[in-house]
Amino acid sequence: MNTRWPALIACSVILTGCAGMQNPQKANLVHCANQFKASKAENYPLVLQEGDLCLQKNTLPASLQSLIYTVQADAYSNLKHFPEAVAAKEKSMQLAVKPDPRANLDLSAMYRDAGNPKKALELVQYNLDNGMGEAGKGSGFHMPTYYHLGLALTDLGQYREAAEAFSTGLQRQPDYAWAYYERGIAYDHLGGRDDAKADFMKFSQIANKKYVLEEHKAKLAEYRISMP
Amino acid sequence: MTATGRFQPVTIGRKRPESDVRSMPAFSQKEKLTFSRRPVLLKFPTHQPTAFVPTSRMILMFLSLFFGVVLLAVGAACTAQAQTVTTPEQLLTEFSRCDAHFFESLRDARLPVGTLRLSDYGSVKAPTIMSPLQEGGTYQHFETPLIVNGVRMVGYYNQAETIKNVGNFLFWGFVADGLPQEVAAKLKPLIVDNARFVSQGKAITRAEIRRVGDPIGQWRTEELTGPGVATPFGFVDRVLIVDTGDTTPPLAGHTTVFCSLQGTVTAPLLQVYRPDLNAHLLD
Repeated sequence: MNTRWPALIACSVILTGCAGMQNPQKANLVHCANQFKASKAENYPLVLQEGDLCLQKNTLPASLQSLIYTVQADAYSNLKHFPEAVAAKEKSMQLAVKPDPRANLDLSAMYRDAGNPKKALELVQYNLDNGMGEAGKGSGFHMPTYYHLGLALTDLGQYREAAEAFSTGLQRQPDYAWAYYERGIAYDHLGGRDDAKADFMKFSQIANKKYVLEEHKAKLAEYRISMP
Repeated sequence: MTATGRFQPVTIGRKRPESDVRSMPAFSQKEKLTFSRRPVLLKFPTHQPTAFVPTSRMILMFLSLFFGVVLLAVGAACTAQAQTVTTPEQLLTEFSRCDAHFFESLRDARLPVGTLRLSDYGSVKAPTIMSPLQEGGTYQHFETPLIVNGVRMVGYYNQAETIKNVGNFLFWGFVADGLPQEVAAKLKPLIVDNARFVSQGKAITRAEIRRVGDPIGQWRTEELTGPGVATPFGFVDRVLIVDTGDTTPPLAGHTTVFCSLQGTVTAPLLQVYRPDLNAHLLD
């Protein structure tokens, strides 16, 4: 995600510049620029519409097509159209110039959303099998890999292994609030109420309230914990 | 423990060479077993079709259930009998699994008087020591040695430590008289999966590795961490090792018969493998 946005902004600037030109072919690029603008404005139906037009009316290089599909996938995901999100993300990855371990993790999340945790797990395991850390081959594994591993294992009902994966991620990044929350969920399923409570408490202390939803608050309430 | 030992923790302050996370064979998920139910053909008198058939079925069901319960009870009794450790040799076999079995078996074990002093740790028992984290508090000397297949076990050792940027290390097991090769030879018949209990330099080891996320009870026996190489992040090495004791007391001059867990050892893992410990002792 961190590397994607600068790329998107750069593409947006280039495409906006091209779209302003008088050449009608170049003018079609306005749809591509509009897609990025709509994405920034979180107008996801418009993202999909403009993205489709961008792809239909232009012959873009593979790398740019890949980017358009990535934005489409993100929009589908936000609209909770999970199978479409998976399809768009897979197209994006097929068109990508080189394999991106982070894209595999994003796709894993989309497969989980789409109700296929087995495939989600396989994608994270592919990264692990091939030494594909978040920053590239041989760069080592950190919280994102273990967090997605834990989430896939949770969805598969392998709570002990999930708790282990979150613990491993927390050794790398002890301030990632959501790993505490998810490990708390895993402990909760294992009947480890003391461990779950400790994790939910830690989560409540360090989580950004902006992203804490009612369902999370309800879980904390089961343990008599409230967000400060 | 020897400085050259393959699975020894590094000396604090001295960094081991790091190794890349290598590709490992993907584990195969256990396939779900499905059972097909075949219809049982029974002949019933035709003159009592509605009343007699259910009654006989009920009798059959009752008999099946009765025998099932009897079989379960017998099975449970046999299992309970098998789990009760009554000899030092049986205890060593349980220990050699390097998992919770050892501590569970000590709960009901009947061992020679004056050997191991045990304490309760939650739902299990373990040899009493002061603290696995405290230097000088990790050892129990047996008043009377525990003789296991001719090997004199003179004490029990239990240590845990974290080495920054390397991982967590846990060692537990027996301190024996004799040379490592002699001790290993006498104990080998008692050791679980002893085909893999082989010489590795001066030590005799049975090693395995587990990647975080693998099923909690599943260990890989291929592509192991090489000698002198730290366990890669995201992996745990489990080793049964018979080796020369450290050069300092209480291990000096003895042979150690240890289990170890090394690497990314987390609380959820310890809850399964070391129920005698506070799983968060290394957090």
